[in-house]
Amino acid sequence: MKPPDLESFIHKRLSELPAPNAPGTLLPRIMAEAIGTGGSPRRQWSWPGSLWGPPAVRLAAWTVLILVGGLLLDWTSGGRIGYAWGVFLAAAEEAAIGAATMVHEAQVLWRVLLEPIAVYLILWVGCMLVFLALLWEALRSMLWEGSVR
Amino acid sequence: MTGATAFEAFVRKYQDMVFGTAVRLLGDESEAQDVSQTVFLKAFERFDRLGESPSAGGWLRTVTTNLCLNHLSRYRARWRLFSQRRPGQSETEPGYEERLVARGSQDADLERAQEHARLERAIRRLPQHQRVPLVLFHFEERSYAEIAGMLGVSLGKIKTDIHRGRETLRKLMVADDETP
Repeated sequence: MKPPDLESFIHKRLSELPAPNAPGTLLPRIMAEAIGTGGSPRRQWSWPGSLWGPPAVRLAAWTVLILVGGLLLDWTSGGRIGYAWGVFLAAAEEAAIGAATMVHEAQVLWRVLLEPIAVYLILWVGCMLVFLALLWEALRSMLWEGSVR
Repeated sequence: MTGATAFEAFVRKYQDMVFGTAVRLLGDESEAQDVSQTVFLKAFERFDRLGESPSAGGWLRTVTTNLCLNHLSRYRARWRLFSQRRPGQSETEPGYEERLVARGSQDADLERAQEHARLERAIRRLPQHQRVPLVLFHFEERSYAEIAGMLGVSLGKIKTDIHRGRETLRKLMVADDETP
């Protein structure tokens, strides 16, 4: 039988096949598992749209809420929040200076130690990646082929 | 209709399609039941969106196919390293073929049901590398290129495997027809 004839012959026979009926045990099994996990199908709760409106309004409302809330808190705490905010800003500035120093030191280390051998390093890593990819492909095909024979 | 009742109706509606797809791809009824259960539990998690959706059937079919392919490539491959199961080993167990035959009550229906059962048995007897692409091509109506992409093998190999699968299927069907 030629391939096109064989294809249409098999396709005709297979298309006549009804879907195999599921065993009677499947439905109770699924229901038991589903009821056990949650009781009833999960319904996702969402905020009513009227409470939130379009994104721009939402953003403006959040900004106003945070500013007013912050000012109220500062007022009720007698300026202690403002002072704490100043301390936090000073600490952040110090951290930023420290980070900049570290970056500078890293740049010096890179230029002195790593840059001269960077090309060789990149080539070596590239070779290793190619080797690993080939190994992975070989293992995958072996497993796939191994699973069918 | 309560949520649980609606979900039960949903499972009743689609269970044959999901189980049928799984059992043809996996060739094993108990594994097909496991995969079907996982598929429906995934559907349960998003039942609010899926329950009334007209695309629920397509979603279930896609998820079933993907889970079966994952199952074949991950779990069974590992398991077979330790225990080489011969294809057709589970044929002695009563399964959906017997249920298929039992459905036909009249003589003509019975004969047709027996023929369908023989064909299902022949599909199950195919080696996995022929059965999976053949089922994807003929039942799931995927193209050769799609199947090659899904299974991660070359287009040429897919075409060869499907052709060999058809040949094997034809031979098995002929052998079954000749068996009294």
